[in-house]
Amino acid sequence: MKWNSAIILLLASGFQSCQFSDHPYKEGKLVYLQQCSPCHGNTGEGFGKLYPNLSDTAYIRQHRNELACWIRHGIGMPASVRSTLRHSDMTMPGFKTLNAVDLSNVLNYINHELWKFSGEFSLQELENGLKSCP
Amino acid sequence: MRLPAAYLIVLTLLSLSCSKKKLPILGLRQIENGDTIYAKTPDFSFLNQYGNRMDKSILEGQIHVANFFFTSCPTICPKTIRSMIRIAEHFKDHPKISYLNFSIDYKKDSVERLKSYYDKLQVSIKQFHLLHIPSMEEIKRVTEMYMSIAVEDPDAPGGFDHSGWLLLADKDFHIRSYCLGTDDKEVDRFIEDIESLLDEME
Repeated sequence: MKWNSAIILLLASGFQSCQFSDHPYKEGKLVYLQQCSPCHGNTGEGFGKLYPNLSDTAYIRQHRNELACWIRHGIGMPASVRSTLRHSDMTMPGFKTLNAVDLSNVLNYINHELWKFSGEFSLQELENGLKSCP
Repeated sequence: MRLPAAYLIVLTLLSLSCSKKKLPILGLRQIENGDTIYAKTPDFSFLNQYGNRMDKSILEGQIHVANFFFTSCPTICPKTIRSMIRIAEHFKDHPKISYLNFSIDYKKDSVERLKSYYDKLQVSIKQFHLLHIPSMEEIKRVTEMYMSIAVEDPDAPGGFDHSGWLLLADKDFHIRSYCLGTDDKEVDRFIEDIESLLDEME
């Protein structure tokens, strides 16, 4: 009986590690690959001078509260942003189908991959962000 | 003596089964007087990003890859253009491959705009053309002959509904392969198809 239960335990732990050893921000990764990567690249590297990379951590940190609105409603690229991003006259479209949960998932995924901020993007933070959109 | 002979047979069989299959000729075909006439890619005469008029004669003795896009496309085109660049960089200015990116936004995508878009890609690839198609009728004709779709649709992101296929045509202008330009794995397979088409020409 002991051996049996040991084997069952072993099997169970093997099963668990299969299920949970995957990427921790899987949902966010899905959103990222579908919605963001065509322009910003699979690893956020951007695309020539057409689309900016996402790795300007200082800039992102400074605008953290605006990210939700930028993604949901797009960015018209005012001159100030354009000069900061050193990029084109292209505008970013709004992704109206993404709700606060999607936004939190995708931002936490990018944060995990690129920005490495210590605080996660909470649902509360994004809901508040969306409420304050201009 | 028997063993080596058996090995030889097995090896021959293996190498046969491994050799690449010839790519099929795709698209419509007609039988005329017992001959099969295969569909060809369309004739065209369009300006590229440098304002030079390009027609089918530039493709003489070459294979080509075709893509449909527009510069303000917010959805799949950035990805298909990226894939076109990845393919072109893989083949490093191969003299026998041309890359045709047809713009389906005849109103906005002027030669100047195509040039500025090309500059922003920050690549330098020979025979990588962004082509201006002057009218919707021409766009319809060209896309259909490349087995693709592009229609104006105010509700679609960017104003057009279109397919994201990349198409491969041989030197006789028959379409031999295609892939979804938004899918990296399909593009990998497509690159192999281009290699086998190049082998076929030698």
